[in-house]
Amino acid sequence: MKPAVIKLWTGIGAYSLTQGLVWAVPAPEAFSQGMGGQNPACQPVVVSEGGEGGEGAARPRYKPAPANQRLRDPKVLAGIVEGFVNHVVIPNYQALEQSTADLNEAVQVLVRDPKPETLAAAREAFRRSRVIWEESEAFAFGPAATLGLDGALDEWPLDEGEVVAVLPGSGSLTPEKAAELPDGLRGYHAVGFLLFGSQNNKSLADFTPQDYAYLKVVTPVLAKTAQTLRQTWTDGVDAFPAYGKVMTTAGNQNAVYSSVGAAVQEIVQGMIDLADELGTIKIGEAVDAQNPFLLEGRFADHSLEEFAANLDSIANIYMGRYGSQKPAQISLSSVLSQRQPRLHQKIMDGLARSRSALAQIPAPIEQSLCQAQDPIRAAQREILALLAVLSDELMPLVVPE
Amino acid sequence: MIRLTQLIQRKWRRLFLLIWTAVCAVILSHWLTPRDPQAGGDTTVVNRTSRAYEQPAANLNAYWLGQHQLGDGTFEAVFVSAPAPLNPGLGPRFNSNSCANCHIKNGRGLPTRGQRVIRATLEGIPQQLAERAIHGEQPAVLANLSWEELPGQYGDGTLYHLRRPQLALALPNGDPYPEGMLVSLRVPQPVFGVGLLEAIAAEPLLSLADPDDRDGDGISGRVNWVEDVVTGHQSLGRFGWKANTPHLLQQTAAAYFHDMGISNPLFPDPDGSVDIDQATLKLTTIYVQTLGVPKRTGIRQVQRGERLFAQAQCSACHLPTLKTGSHPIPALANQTIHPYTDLLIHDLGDGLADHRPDGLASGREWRTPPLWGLGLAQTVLPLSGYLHNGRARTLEEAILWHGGEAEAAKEFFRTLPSRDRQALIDFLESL
Repeated sequence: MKPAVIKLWTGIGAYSLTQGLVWAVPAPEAFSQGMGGQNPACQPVVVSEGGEGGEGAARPRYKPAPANQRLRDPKVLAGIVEGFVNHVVIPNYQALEQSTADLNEAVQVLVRDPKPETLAAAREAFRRSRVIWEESEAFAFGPAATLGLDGALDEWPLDEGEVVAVLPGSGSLTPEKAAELPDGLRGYHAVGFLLFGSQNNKSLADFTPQDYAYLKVVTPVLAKTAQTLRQTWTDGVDAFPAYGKVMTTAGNQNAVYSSVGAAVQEIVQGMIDLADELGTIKIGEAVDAQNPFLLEGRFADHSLEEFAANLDSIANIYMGRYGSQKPAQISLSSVLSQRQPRLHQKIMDGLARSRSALAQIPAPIEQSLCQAQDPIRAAQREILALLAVLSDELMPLVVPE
Repeated sequence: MIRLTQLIQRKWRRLFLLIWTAVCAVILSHWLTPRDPQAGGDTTVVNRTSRAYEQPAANLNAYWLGQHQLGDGTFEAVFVSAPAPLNPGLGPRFNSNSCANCHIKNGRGLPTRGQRVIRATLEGIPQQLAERAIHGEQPAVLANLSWEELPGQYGDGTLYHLRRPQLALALPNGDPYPEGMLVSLRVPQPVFGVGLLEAIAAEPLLSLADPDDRDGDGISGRVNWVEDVVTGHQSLGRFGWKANTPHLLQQTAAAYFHDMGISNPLFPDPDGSVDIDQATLKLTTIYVQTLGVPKRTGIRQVQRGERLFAQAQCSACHLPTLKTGSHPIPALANQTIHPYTDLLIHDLGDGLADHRPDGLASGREWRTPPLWGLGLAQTVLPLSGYLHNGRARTLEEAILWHGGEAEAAKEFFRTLPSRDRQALIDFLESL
């Protein structure tokens, strides 16, 4: 789920905490430890609503570029879409499917044989899978969003109260019942909460039989959801045709994309939205509010790795490749390097500068959020600069006629 | 000398004539070439992707763009059960846990649990029956939706099928709901462009109303006067399937309260407490107010369909052009817009009736929904349906469900040759 989700922190979360809200259910670890327990500078404060409003970051306010500069050659446009589907999206979702199967396998081993090694292996499998998921976020616009699979995998924030309420009965959770749990309770964040604790502080001794029972039935559901997501692009699910085909057959007769240009615009819009979300929301709001609760990867102290994976998501689309697999013949990068070498260089530089700026932030960012504001702000600036290039210079070239 | 002057004059006359002809030709061709109407005036955005309904209005200044971005966050915020460090207050009963989870990508929702809304009236008391609840609580209703297929035939003999929902309701313990309860199944509506609809002054809408059909065109249309919970006065209803809400602050607050169980300053809990404050409520309202309207596409290819739309009298209610008046958000003020609605309630016949009155609106009356952005519905959410409960799977089906005041328009469409039917649909797809 998009972590655009969190703004309300300023309105209500802080309000409730500062008003000394009485917890009505036994407080899970997450609450009783309080935010920034080891990080006093990060105590919750109510942020004035108007404080961040005035300075709007770059957003798509583009005008189409002159016709002779726009990408209009149908073969080139179709090549970009084909490369995107077959060399980026599908390999990424195949890797996601494999990584959630691996995570499930590691969790089942942990449940059967709980010891430091099996716990470490399950946690490592979780982190690996999270990176692959975050690499896919620039194309969450497809079935991930429309079929609710994004929510089923990644709804955030986790309803910790619901998890605490469900846990005592987890011994009687059947696979069928687990599949019917509300979205957030069968996604990554529920599994992460149980594997790592609220702040990456859970020891093997803290695990209860209920934790194991819950993990045992919920992790397979997560893996199944990832498999369904891959199928939505490769084969289609129920009445929904394969989204890969929907995109590659864009044109007059296509109910979703009435032109190939619209499909290319969709791809670029995905890059823009993720750059915006990363710079403005994921990093921006957390650092503005000085509030580690706003970091989505906080259970595993993993947010920084996930930010980098988001950047890779944008880069992968631009380059038309995934991992070590063969890149696409035609990609935005291959086309622009020929036709708009200056813009191509700008995008490549923007990606590289953003990547190295993220690497300068002391890890984990859940601990360094308040002390390391300079490098965090610097990384945010680089990502917003990249966003401006994508929305103000790349998008005008692909606006369909 | 005289000859020379005459010669020059003649020459000038010819030149003048030439220039005049050229100017006329340019003006004429300009008139004859269809222009791209800016669907949402200056708010219009050039975007035909699945995120087309999610773009900020193109004419926002830096301040309002900033407000829009903050509102984007509140619109997407996922609520959880209290207590919690982030976004507590969900429930106890609810349909969904965020605005964005029902208004998928700011567009329509599906008639599935978690997106649909079940409105009911029992012993005169209107209420919303929530299908979900937080831990330890019961939902208000168990609902099971099935569809009944109804065959039909075009004038040229081509067969079609419509479907209508059959909703079976039970109490959480399995007992049936009391007899005589009036029930209305609804799907979420798109939320873009609503700021512009709010900015239309009351007078032009009032002048469009013709409750007694004095002009004898078979189409009446009237205003649903509803309570403004801010002022306590009766006000012109504009939003909701039956126009039962006067403005977007109230619409947003009611949705928070009824759809998510989030109490707020307009709809507080019985003890006066609220889950979100006024600032948050306002930001979410500003977000929907400041969304842009997608620009139309392929206009030159759909001229015939547009003429048929007018000929069929569709445009008598789905009014192509309106003007906005003043609005606190400057980007919305004084815009010429093309929403294809009159915001009035009309009798749509028995086929579409929910038999549940809502304010002044009878069980047969519905507000004319705007049609802008309609051509992107399947891009934004593939397989999403049309009409108040999503029963129409295609635009053809949506038209064929029209009755009552729109019976003649429906018949016009039903008896068109298939080429013309397609032309009309192509026009709708261009919106």
